This record gives sequence, structure tokens and C-alpha cells, in this order.
Amino acid sequence: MENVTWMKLDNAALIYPPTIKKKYAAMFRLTITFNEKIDIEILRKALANTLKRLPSFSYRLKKGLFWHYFERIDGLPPILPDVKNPMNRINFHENNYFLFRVRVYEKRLALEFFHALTDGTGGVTLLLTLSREYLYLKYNADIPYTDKILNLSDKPNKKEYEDSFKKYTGASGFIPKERPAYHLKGTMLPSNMLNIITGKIDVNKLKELCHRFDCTITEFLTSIMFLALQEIQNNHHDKKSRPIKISIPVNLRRIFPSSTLRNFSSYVNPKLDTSLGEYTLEEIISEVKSQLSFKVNEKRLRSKFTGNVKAEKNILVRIMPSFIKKYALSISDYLMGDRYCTTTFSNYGYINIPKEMEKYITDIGFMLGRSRNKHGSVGCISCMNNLYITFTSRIKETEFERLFFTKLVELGIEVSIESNEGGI
Amino acid sequence: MYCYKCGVKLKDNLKRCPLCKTYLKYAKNTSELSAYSNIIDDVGGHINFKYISKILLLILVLSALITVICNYFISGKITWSIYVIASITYLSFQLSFLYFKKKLFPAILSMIGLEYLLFTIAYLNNGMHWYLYLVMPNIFAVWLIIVLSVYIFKRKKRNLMRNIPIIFFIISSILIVTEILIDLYLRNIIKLTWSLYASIPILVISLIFFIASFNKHIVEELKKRVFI
Repeated sequence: MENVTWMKLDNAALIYPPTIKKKYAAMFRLTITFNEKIDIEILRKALANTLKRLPSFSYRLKKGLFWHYFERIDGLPPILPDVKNPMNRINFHENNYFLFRVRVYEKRLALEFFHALTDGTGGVTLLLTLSREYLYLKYNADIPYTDKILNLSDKPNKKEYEDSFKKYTGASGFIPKERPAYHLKGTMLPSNMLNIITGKIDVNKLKELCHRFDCTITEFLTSIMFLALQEIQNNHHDKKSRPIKISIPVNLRRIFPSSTLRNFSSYVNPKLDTSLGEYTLEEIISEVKSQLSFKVNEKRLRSKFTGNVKAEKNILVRIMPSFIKKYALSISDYLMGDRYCTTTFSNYGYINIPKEMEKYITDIGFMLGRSRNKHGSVGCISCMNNLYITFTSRIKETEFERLFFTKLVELGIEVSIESNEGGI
Repeated sequence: MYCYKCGVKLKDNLKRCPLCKTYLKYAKNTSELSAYSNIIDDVGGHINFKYISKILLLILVLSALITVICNYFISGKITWSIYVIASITYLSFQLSFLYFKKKLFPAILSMIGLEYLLFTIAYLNNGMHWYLYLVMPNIFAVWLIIVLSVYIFKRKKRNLMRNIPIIFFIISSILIVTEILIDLYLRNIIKLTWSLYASIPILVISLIFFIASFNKHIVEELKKRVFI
């Protein structure tokens, strides 16, 4: 891996570089909060050690004649103080050309990734491996290795850098046609500000509730979101009554075995056609369950990303110079991306943290960055019996978040709220 | 601490609930750290219109100078470059829209700029009589109607039933003024004809609507009967 001086972008990453604007880039952020204030010098050392094991994060983005590509770089990204308005576009020059940013606020370590570099799984692997190394250097803590905490004395594995989309491409594929979705409207915040609201929920209590409704946590939380959005649509008397759609990213590693740390995820857009009438929670749950089981399976997902890979392989697309391709891809993202979903709900799932590590950590967080053409997104991650669900929004109004959390409270779940007070 | 409206648990030192924005009466001044740092990341990318307008002004002045020099060296005196200078002066006056935040002063400047440009053209072509009697008052009249309309429609309280009659009133008065000007220019006698045919019906209808707009009952009745 040391010799790999450049790499092609994977299929999912291709769409992100052309959409970069002065004030926008597709970002996501992972945080971990330790028990004690972070020692920056030790963190820098830990980061240097970790990047030697995970060289796929030491790449910069460059523009070729036809496509963007990653070029290997040395050095370290600067460790920056954390801010009230995270996940703004990375200034690559100021970040030593790294495609992820390291930020520290008292006890909290935050990594902000440009999505072309990796997805949630790759990000969590870097975060946990870095945290383990930091704890080892600071407290000499002996924390066992897991699939997400890599051993730094191992050599980088070739499989961690592979483009798994190409590996699992099928014979035929198609990109399903969709209808535009209902979008929330509101007062826009300044272009560098996001309103971030995080709710902390007890996983066991949530599991009990999901058991009562016979569904998974993702299905349940998606249904509550549908319920909240349906209420907003009713309150605003939106006569257009476009369907409410929630885009749910799917980690393809769960279906197609892969240990890549680059992008390997797809998405499904379950929808609720509110023009047919008002749904109850039970009805929404059964809708969501049936739609997810219909869409999330090996064959449908394979055909979806095969369709994308085929589009990438199209000779007309390939010979288009990158300065033209930039506009073509940006327009196709505008027409086919956020237009088709009301919000995005990315549930990373449960992270198994070794018991030896638990005593050093208080919480963990996952949030998605600014959306290009919709009001906001939702990120969710759970560990140590807590679930952290973070709403990021570019509008001032918090009706969606309020309805979502109050519905959980009404169902008997205690929710603790934290916010950056970006909208106040 | 819990928000008594949403029922969610909040930090003790929060003054407002982030969900419903309710002020929390029982907020305490604890030393607990806020969830996020106070530093604000400035992404930059702000467009400095003042700077851009200064640069553009500099380019315009330089090009004017070059034109004058060229003209002087070719013809031995300044002739055609006067037209260029007048046009550049007009453009420079338009730049004030970029420079100033409030738009009234630039609007006045742009009107003066246009008058000046046409004055130069008229002066150099012995056309002062048509400039003074027709062009100058008409430009001022059109400028006035644009500025007044923008002002009327920019007001926060919009009342279409009152604003549209005002605009029509201004238009009809400008029609009358235009005819007076043309009459004076052509015949030196004022004899109003076409402007009256156009403006009297407009004035009457506008006046009716204007008076009716003060009567809530009539407004409601109209809304009820003609809503689309």
C-alpha cells in the first residue's frame, strides 16, 4: 500500500467532488468524548501512528483530464479547535490537503470527513483506532482489537483499499425512477451555520418499544420521522401533497462481504404517500417494514449499484473532459439527489466498544453535514447502551425535531437534548 | 432540568429549549460546559461589492484616459472621445448600486448620469431644444414613477387594493405631463386630448378602488366574490 501513489475514486465517491462549491461539500462528522481533557500532543502522536496503519486516509483530491483522482500525501492534518458550526467545507490548503479534519473541544475529539474519502464504516474505524492509540499512549491502556479497532503493528491490507463496487458489479443493472419528494420549508440560517440537535436515548428502552411494535430500531425511528413529517404537512395544509420520502443509506458490507475502508454503501428511499390519507403509527411501521424488506436485498441493491457503475463505464461519460463532466455530474446530482428525499436518516448501528475502553469514554456521536437541496439530515449511532440521534438542519424552525422527540416522549422514552443553538 | 412544554431533558444552564424555543424559568448558572465551542468557523467566500466596484471604477477611468490620449494624438484635439467619456461617466454612476447598500442615492445618481449622457449627445449635435423640452423632463418623469412604485411595493404592509390605484394615479398624471410637454414642444399651446381619454377612466376606477380599500366590508365582499 505504501507504493500506491494514486487511486481512482470509487463509484460512490465520483459524485462528491463535482458538487463542491465555495460554501458546500458533502461532509459527515464522528465524535468521541473522553473522560478527561484531551492532550493535543499525545493526540498528534497517536494520529501519526494511526495514519501509518491506515494510509487510505492520507490522500488528497486532484483533478485529472477526465476524472478526479486521489494522490498520496505525507504529513499530518492540523489539529484544530472545535467550532459551534462544524462540517463546513474543508479548506484543503489549510488542512495540509487532507480530506478529513481533526477537531478538539475540551474532552471531545471530532473527525469531519469529506464523503468522497470514506463512508461511516471507514470513519468509525479511523476514529476508534485513533482513540485506542491515544488511550494507549496516555494511560498505557491495553484495549483489545476488534474489526473496527485495528492493530497498528499489522501491515495495511490491500483489501482495505479496494473498490468493492467494481468487485460486486453484476451483469445487469438499472437506476430506479423516482418522483420528487415533499420538502420542508423554513427560514434559512446563514450559509456557514447549521442547527444541530442531538437526542440521547436509552437503547434498551427503545428496544422494548420496538419489540412491542415488532420492528427494528431503524424501522421504528424512520416511522416516527414519517409521523412527524406527516403532521407538519397537515399543519401547513400543503396542497401539493408530494410523498414524504426518507433516504436511508445501506451499508453494503452487511450483504456483500468486504473490508474496504472506502465508500461502499447504497441507499433506499422508503416513501409515504400522504395524498391517500392520514396514517397511524402502526400503519406507517408496516409500510416501512414492507418497503425496506422489498428494497434491501442482495439482488435489488446489486442491480442499483451495477446501474451506477455501468453509467460510469459508459464511453461517452468517460471521454467527457472533467471540466464538462463537473457540470454534468453536478446537474445530475441536483436533479436526482436531494430532490427525491425529504430528509436522510443514516443509522450507523451499534458499535461494540471493548469493556476496557468503556471506562475512558462517555459518549459518541455521528452527524451528517449540510444538505445541498433539502432542509437537513439525521445521523444516528449507538454504543454503551445509549443511542445518539443528531438532527442537522439549515433552517431555523425546529418543528420536525420537536415533533420527533415529543412523540418519543409520549411513548414513554426519556430523551436528553443537546444543541449548538445554531437556530436561536 | 426538563422542558415543561416538550418533556425532554435539558442541561441545567440552558436558557431556552432548543426544540420549542421556550424560555426556561429554572435555568441555573452552573459551571457545566456548553455542548459546543463558542468559536464560529467562517468559511469566507463573501463577495466584497465595495472592492469590486472600486476595481471596476479604476478600469473605467483608465480606459477613459487611454481613449482621450489616443483621440488627442490622432486628431490633434479632443473630438469623438467626449462620447466615450460621457458613456463611461454614466457607467461609473451605475456602479454606485454596487457600492452603496441603500439604493436611493444610487438611483438618483443613475438618473443624473443618464441625463448627463443625453445632455452631452444633444449639446454636441445642436439638439438642446429637444433635450430640454422632451428628453430631460420625460426621463425625470419615468424615473420618478419607477422610484415611487418600488417604494410603494417595498413597504412591509402590502395592500394591493390601495397600492395599485396609487401606481395608476401616478401613471395617468405622467401621461398628462407627457402630452403637455409634447404640445409645448410642437405647438407652444397646451391642448389635452389622448392623455385625458386614457387617464380619466383610469383615475375614476383607481379612485373608487382606493376609497373602497378603506372599507373592510367591501374588501371582504370583493375577496369572497372574486377569489381564484
